[in-house]
Amino acid sequence: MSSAIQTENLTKKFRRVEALQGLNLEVPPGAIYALVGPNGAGKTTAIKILMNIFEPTSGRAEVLETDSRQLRGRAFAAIGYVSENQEMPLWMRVGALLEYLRPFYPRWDRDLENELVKQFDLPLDRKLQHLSRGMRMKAALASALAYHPRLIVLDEPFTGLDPLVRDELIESMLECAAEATVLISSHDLGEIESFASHVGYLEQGCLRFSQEMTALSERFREVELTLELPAILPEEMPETWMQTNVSGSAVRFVASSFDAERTNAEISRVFGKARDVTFTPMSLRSIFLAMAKTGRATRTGG
Amino acid sequence: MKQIIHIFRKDTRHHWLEIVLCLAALLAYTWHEVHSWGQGFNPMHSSSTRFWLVTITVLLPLSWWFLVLRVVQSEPLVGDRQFWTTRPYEWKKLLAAKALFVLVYINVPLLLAGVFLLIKAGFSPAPHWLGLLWMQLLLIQIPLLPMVALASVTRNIAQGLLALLGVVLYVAGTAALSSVVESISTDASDWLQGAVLVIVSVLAIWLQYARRRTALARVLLAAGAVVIFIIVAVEPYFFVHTDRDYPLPPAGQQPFRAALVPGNRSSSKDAPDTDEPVNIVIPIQTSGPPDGSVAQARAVMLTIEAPDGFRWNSGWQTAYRLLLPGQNSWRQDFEIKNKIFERLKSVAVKARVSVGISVLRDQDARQIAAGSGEFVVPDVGRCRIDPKDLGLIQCHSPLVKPSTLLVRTDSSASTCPVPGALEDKESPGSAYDWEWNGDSRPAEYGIDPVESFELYFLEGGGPGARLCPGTPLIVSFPKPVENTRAEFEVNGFKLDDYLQEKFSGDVVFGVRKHSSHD
Repeated sequence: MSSAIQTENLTKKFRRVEALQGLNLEVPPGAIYALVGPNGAGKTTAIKILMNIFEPTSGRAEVLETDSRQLRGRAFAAIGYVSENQEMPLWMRVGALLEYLRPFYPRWDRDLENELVKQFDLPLDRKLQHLSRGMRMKAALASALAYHPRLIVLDEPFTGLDPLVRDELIESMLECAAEATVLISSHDLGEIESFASHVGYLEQGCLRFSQEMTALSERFREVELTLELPAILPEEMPETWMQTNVSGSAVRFVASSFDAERTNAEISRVFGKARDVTFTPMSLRSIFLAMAKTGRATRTGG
Repeated sequence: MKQIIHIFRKDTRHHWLEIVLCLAALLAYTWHEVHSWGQGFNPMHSSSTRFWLVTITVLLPLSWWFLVLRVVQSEPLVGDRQFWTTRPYEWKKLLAAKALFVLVYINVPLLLAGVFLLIKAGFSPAPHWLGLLWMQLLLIQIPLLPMVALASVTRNIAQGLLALLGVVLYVAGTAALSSVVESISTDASDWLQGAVLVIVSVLAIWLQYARRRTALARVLLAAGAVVIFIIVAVEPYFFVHTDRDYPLPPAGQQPFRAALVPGNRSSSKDAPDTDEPVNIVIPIQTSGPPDGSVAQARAVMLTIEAPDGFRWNSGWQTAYRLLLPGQNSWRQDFEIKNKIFERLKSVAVKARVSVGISVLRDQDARQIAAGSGEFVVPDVGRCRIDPKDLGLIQCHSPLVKPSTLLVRTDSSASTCPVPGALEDKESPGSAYDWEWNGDSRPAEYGIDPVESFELYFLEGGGPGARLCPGTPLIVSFPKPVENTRAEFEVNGFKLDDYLQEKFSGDVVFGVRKHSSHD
């Protein structure tokens, strides 16, 4: 089976602003793909193109083997899309919303619906407009999961939610993810780390990297070392080092393409003899912050 | 179909209050129509009554606008955050559901109200189904289709109200333009304007539902409005071909002759207000139509040539004067700029008056007797003598007024008791009134399928005829057969002699000014 989502040189311009610059993204079937990046990186734009809410300026995208521009009507019976800023029919009661959506989906599962309602503790007789943000998100997610979608697309679903609600949402999503591909964009890197199988880092409309979580964890290390003498930061450093920081004889940096043997060789070449060299695995949050800060420093010439 | 019904049912549940408001407005309108029949326009209505009448008439289309806006915006088409766009909605079914909603809650009630009004007016609806459906089709064309188009390019009620305000200003502007250019409404122009409106509305709706291209749809609607504005502006130049429509016959073969009525000059010498256009009134007399025919002066034009070569032309203006034997004099007013009037008023100029005339064969004449209360006039509808004015007949026609209708009565045959005031009448003769609708469509545009009109019987040289039960009426349906033109020239014509008299009142030359019908 080919990719659940695939984009080729996807570009989107809003007047002069280039929100996406030749995005090449591939989400394998069955993956839980986390699309991360700072605000304004183009995550929502990319997802809206995938959902045929926006048309790309150039390039193409395929979603479940369908050109994103052709994605409409029945094709959405296999896709569950939830976005933080989606405009729901607020006048509807939760029960009425689920009842209304049921006939649209041939694979709607009443048992699963009941299970989700129970799990999320959704008040069926309350109007959406009277629900808290978290409860509204739960209702949206329940309405997007109850029909066993092949692809679940979540755009910043956890923003502004308390940890309890977040955990509930993640738990439900993971249960459904067993039979689906998930694309999720989020700032909640801590949570994503616990369940994402793949991660892509988007910055300024460009995908800086995209790989499996395990490979990513292997790739990034926080490196600490001590020199014999107070260190002087050389002008030329390996491109894969990020956020190099010197404090007296102590040096700290992030290796973004870690390989113990090669990194040791690079340290010797740059600093000469070093002692107490430690390689610490990094959390996704730390990796993301390092990437974001490096990107910002590069943009501002720092 | 299941999805259409499903969305329709959801919209019905959600918008029940708007539906009730709409139906209430229709009920109020229907009640008002039934009660207004026979009352005609009454300037004596109290201000509160007038306010109520205007409110009901405005409320109905407003209630449609609100209902259409709400139901279309249930699944908003503007913006990129709507939840429904990533659900398995099929746009054709969504659009069909909205169309079904409008049909069920606007058109069907209107149709039923139409049937009720027909029955209430004494007509059987059975022979008029086609016309009733035609009325609904016209209402879909204007205003429902443009309403749906506007609702589809607006995001919420606030934007919808702004759009409505824009439409009101646009219509006012177009009406103002229409009055400035003195355009004569033509079928070709009306058809073109209607076609533009329908095409841009349909395209905007399609763009929104199929593609959600809001910016393009808005530009399209704005472009349509501009095109219609331009059509109105150029109407007199491109659509009105009076010269061609009323050809001047070769010399010696003119079926009509026209002339200035001698000795009918204005006695008023009041100086007109500066900067205001000046009205000059020319008394015209034409020869009568051939036997078995009637004619109507439908267009007039005044051309002036000053001795110094200065030339002024009024352009063709609309007239509605019916020409019958012995009753062919009337006064035609022309508006002229004050500056030009001041320049020419005392100069002896050459004036040429052209009269465009339609000749109609008087056919299907039949004699009926006016009844007490309502009486049936075959091929017209139901009429009754106004109890407050015995010279007036009020008529109701189903769906459309007769294309042409001429009703005559001989005053000497009146069955009314002769009041003292009329005993001294010099020469009782034929009194008449007529309708020229010219519309051959199965129904007129509107909500009420009962067309009301009045026939006011006037005589050439005296007050109107008096009608009472038993008074014979000759009803005929003249058919247009040809158009022609009559012209006359006057040398030594001085504009000052024909300045409109001030406070001349409603009646000039024994012809009430309101006698124009269209």
